[in-house]
Amino acid sequence: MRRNILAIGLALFFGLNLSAQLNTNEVDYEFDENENNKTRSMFIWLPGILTKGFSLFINKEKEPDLKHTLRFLGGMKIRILEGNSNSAKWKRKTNRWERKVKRKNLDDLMVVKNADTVVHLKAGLPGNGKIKNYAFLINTDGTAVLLLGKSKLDLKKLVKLVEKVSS
Amino acid sequence: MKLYQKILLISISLLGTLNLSAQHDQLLKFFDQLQGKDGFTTVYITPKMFELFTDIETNDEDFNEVSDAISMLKGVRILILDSVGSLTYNPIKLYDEVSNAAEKISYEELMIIKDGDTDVKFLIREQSKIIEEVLLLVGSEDSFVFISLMGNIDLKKLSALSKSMDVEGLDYLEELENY
Repeated sequence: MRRNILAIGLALFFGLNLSAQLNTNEVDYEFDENENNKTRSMFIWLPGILTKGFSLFINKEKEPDLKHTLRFLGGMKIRILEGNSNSAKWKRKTNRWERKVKRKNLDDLMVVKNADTVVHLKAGLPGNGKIKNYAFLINTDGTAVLLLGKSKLDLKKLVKLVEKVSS
Repeated sequence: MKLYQKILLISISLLGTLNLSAQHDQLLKFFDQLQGKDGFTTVYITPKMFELFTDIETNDEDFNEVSDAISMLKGVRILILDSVGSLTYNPIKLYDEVSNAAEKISYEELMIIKDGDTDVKFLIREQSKIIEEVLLLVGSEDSFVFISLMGNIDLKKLSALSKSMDVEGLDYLEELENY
């Protein structure tokens, strides 16, 4: 009996997990907006295990810096918004993004502004040249991208590895 | 010294400090006014970005030179006006306006370079003989560049920055090596 419950539990868990993963890549349309001005949003989740997995294929002797970066880069979530930047959906989504980034208490590293483009680069810096988490926010006329990631990147180590390669 | 004299002296020095910071704010206001306008690109690099590189030491001399220069900085503001789509602003007029305004407030002229039809001006803002800001203005018929480097600046070290940052106008920092 216990085994049956466990088996059903596991099956349900994996089922839910799979459906959750499928939803993440779903592209949803705003049907109440004008067809030409529809705002589309996309969410891509790149788990940290994937970047770590890629690092296994990198040669440690030839490209130690790239291997280190991929190994400690961690997972990232990418949100893309395309369409009419004056639509209600756009404003709702971008406001939500801003709140999300604000909650993470990240420090501003760089801000670039152009006539219709704003780029923010933010990171959580615990000190010692380490980057704990980061956010990259681009807002242009018609496209907005938010990249949020967690990492264990150590810049000191990375610079040493680059130095090793160049020497 | 009597008490009221001390109070007067402290008030005057406080007023002087406030006045200096207000003058500095005038240039920041200019930067804020123009950012995001058609034809202008602005970049603000915060002190946190520079803190990232301060503790890193390597055996690479070039990197250490650049790292030394970066560690002095507490912020960089860059404003670039390209000719495309900027008909309402005349780059040469903007160059004159900003350099006159900067000279009127606490900035001192350090170096002027005439490179063909391009005018380059270095201005500095000092406090207690420490350079707190270097202002680089580049003006020509089709572009205007405003670069403000803030921190405790050693002019000799600053030239190393031009090697690491690929920004229009920043290559003129190399001229500071000969200063």
